[in-house]
Amino acid sequence: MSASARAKVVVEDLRAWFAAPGRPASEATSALSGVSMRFAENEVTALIGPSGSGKSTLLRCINRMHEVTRGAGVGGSVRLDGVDVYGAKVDPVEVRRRIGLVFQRPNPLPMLSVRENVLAGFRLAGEPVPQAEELVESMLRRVALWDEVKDRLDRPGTSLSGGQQQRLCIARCLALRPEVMLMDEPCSALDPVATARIEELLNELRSKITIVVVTHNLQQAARVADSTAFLHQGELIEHEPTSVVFTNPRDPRTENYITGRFGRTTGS
Amino acid sequence: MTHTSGTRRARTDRLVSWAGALAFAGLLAPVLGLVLWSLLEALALGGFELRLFAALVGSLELCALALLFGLPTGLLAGLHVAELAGPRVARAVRMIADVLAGAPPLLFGVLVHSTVASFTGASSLLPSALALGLFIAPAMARATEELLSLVPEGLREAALGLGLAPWRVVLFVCLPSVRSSLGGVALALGARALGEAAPLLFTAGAVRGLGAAVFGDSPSLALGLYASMSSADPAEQGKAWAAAFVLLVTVVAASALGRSVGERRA
Ligand SMILES: Nc1ncnc2c1ncn2[C@@H]1O[C@H](COP(=O)(O)OP(=O)(O)OP(=O)(O)O)[C@@H](O)[C@H]1O
Ligand SMILES: [Mg+2]
Repeated sequence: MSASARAKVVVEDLRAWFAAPGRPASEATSALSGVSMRFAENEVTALIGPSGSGKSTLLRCINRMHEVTRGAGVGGSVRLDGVDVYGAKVDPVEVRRRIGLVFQRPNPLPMLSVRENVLAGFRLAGEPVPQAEELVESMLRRVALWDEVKDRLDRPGTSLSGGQQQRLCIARCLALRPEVMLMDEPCSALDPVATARIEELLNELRSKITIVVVTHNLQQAARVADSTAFLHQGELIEHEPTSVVFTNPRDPRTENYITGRFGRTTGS
Repeated sequence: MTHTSGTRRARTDRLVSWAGALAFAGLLAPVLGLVLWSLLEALALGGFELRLFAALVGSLELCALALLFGLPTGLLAGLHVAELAGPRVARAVRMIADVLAGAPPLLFGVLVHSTVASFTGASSLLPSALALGLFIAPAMARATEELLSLVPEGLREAALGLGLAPWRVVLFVCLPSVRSSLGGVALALGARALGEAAPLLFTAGAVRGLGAAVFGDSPSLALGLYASMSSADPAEQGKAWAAAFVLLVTVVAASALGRSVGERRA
């Protein structure tokens, strides 16, 4: 994170928990216990950490998707351009529109075609899409999916392979032109070629939008991220420029993780 | 694997499939028996006549109107419970719907007769449809709620994550994903309403046999059947059997249609 960069998203003392239905919050499992960090505008931030460390939960708290889960609760604050997204007057719908999320599991809408999935954010909101065909093509090209699906744009989105669905979901998110894009393991199901194309895309988007990407692929974090944050058991251990984290980590837990000495499991 | 154990397994397989077929036949026999019996009785007593179809059309009209009352009400109540209501309200509405769905249909007729019917005057169509609508609504509410609760969480999240308002997610994502099952439920409920005579005993005005029905009188096939069957006149009984036959065939057809609509993939 360059010192000059403005912070687009500022997370302060963020706490998140999951309570079993009908049980009091005091018995809840904690997923984040007081995370504070800044996400620089128009930069790529990588989130790394062992399975269950709270990476997905952090992303979901930033765009107010966490509260959608039954029994989930959140404390602390998340500021987008200085405004607390948990403020009383803020509409979560608006927040989610400005902060796009690509989910850990690809989730194309099953009743919509490939084409309509790309346009889903507009169509289902009742907004007209001028030049829809062009938008569909350019978005699918950007995620390197166009050549694979151009002959079956009218087939259901769910008829694609897992990796294709993952790229379709990135395209769907991108089409809405979010200011911040949160990507939860966007390459977990992709082959090396497609992965390289998505990394290229991140490079293109850098300096245009703010990106946070969760990844278990440390090389990927090293390749694409300006800064890297290491999460461990719901706490932020360190957040430094990527080169610092990988060459000269401050905390022994970070070092252990990146040298593969503990908790390096993939996926979940 | 030895040869004997293989043949034993084959024999067990055959036994189980025979038992299954037998059980199926046991269920099918009463339906087929009833259809055949009513057909033969009706033919023997000369029950088939054109007026029967006036009654069928009346029944279908009544049924359509009842669905018009019952389905939207049930759908909205189910939506409310599944998506908007807090757990306490949801539990209360669910209990009320269960009680209503289990109540003797006769009571709906009594209720409508003792309240609304005094305002609608001579017309029997409206109160009858209301009574049947009351019979349909709770079942529709429960079905809607249950189907919506089966919508995968991931689907809902995908739509919410796109920055869609929650009401749009329910209306344009969750409901469409269960629309064919809902259609099936609606048709099945229509079939049940078609065969129901009890709620109409109080709302249909004078309970007349099928012989007395005239065009435009919007008589109900089910109610007419009840009245004609109780008559001592063999001609009336023949009409009742004919009505039973027509009713059975219509209900079976509607149920089958509902089933096939419900099973069709969205
Ligand atoms: N729906 C849920 N209900 C209850 N607990 C949950 C739920 N989702 C996550 N958790 C818990 O919250 C903690 C953080 O989970 P989270 O999904 O954020 O981890 P993660 O870092 O994304 O892991 P992974 O790398 O495996 O995706 C874990 O302890 C997990 O068990
Ligand atoms: Mg995760």
